[in-house]
Amino acid sequence: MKLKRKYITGFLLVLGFFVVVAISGCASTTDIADRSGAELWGNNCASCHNIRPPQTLTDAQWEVAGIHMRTRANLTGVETNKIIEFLKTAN
Amino acid sequence: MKRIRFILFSALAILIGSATQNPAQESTDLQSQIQKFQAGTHQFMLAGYAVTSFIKEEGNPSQFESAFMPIFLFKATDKVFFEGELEIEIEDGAQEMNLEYGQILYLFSDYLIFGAGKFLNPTNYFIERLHPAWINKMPDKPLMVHPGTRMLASQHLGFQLRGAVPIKGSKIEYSFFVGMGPVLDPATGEVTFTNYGDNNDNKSIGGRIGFIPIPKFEIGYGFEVAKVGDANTNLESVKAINNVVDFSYAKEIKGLKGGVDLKAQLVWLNIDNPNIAPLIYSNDSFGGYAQISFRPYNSPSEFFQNLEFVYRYDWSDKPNKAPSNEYIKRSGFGINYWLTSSSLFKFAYETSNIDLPNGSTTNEHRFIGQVAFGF
Repeated sequence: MKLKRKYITGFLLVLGFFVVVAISGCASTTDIADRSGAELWGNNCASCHNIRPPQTLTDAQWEVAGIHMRTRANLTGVETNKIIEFLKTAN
Repeated sequence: MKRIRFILFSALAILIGSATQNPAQESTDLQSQIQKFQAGTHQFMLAGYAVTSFIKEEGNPSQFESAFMPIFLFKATDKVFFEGELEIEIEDGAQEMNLEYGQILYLFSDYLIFGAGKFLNPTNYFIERLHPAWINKMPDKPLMVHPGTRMLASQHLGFQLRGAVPIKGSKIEYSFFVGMGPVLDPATGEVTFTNYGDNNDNKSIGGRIGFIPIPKFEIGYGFEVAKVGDANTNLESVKAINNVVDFSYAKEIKGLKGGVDLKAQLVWLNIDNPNIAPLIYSNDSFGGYAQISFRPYNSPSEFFQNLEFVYRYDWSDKPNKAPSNEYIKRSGFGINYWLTSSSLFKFAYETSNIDLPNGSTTNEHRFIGQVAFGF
């Protein structure tokens, strides 16, 4: 039980540190609605995996893959459409 | 006469127009027309990943394991979508095929999606976002999401509602579900999450709220509550509660010419103590993992750009008085080499320290080499 408390305390301390770092960076962030497709692509996709170059899929495939990733990564409809449009333009 | 002259001029204009058209433009137009009507890509898409591992565990014969996970995606309309993944694997001396997930989705609005079927557990961040072999930076899964530790579900069979709401520069994510829920094994006090034939009328209810204050930083809390005992028995009202906290952060560090990625997840599982033998103990389990990785992708050397270093610490602590009592602490160090953005070689060495039910302690060591390919 002592070990569990130690882990929880350690985790919360680390977490607290990153929350402070994150909140301190909040002031400079742009509204999500104002972010470009390229920015949303970099921010959302790279949170979990390497960014896949636009050329890896066709325009039609990006439309299908985009909805799949919208569900997986909890993207809004607007974010998804902007990312898909960016990938199609860059293709 | 005027009519004939008009036709001749028109024909001449068309001829000149077609002769002066840019060949590159022509080629692009043709490509886009072909792409538009290309069979199998307009609405249906096959994605997925494949993985092969070599495992050498101290004291056991070395093994090869291999798996292929095709993902089928079908967009019926802008609102109706299907996604399904099969898991075909050769593991532990047997060949198996399972449905990893298969769900029909209805996109109600920009902020709300309804899903029905077998879906990845929304409270389990690792499973939902990071489990594919080309995304997971280590060659195996953390202990608390491994089915053997029976601490957290990987999938649910039921309905879910999910989405996200932007608030200025930040975003709140939500997922809520109702599913079959776990089943209690009265002999061991453990619950199993692969429940495809429910043992009672009670359905599990759960969800996750995630907060993204700035890009690439996410913290989430998830829960699941269910009655897990068999219907019409004295264990029928025994409840299991899962609490999960997850954390994810990725940051480019210019001074190090690369990027750091941090991931962590904690899981608590509490099962009621019904005071009915043999379940006469406090049935609490606790597990988690923390992982840090670094890839010098801005290094001047192409070789170093493709290298990635990973360290993961994970643990699984089962109830002291449970027959399955084990406390496993594991450290793993890995080096990955990226071939493309979605294919890589992984090499990892893991050391586990295990407290056994009889009070003794044992250590295990293993090496895993793996190649993974996402498509």
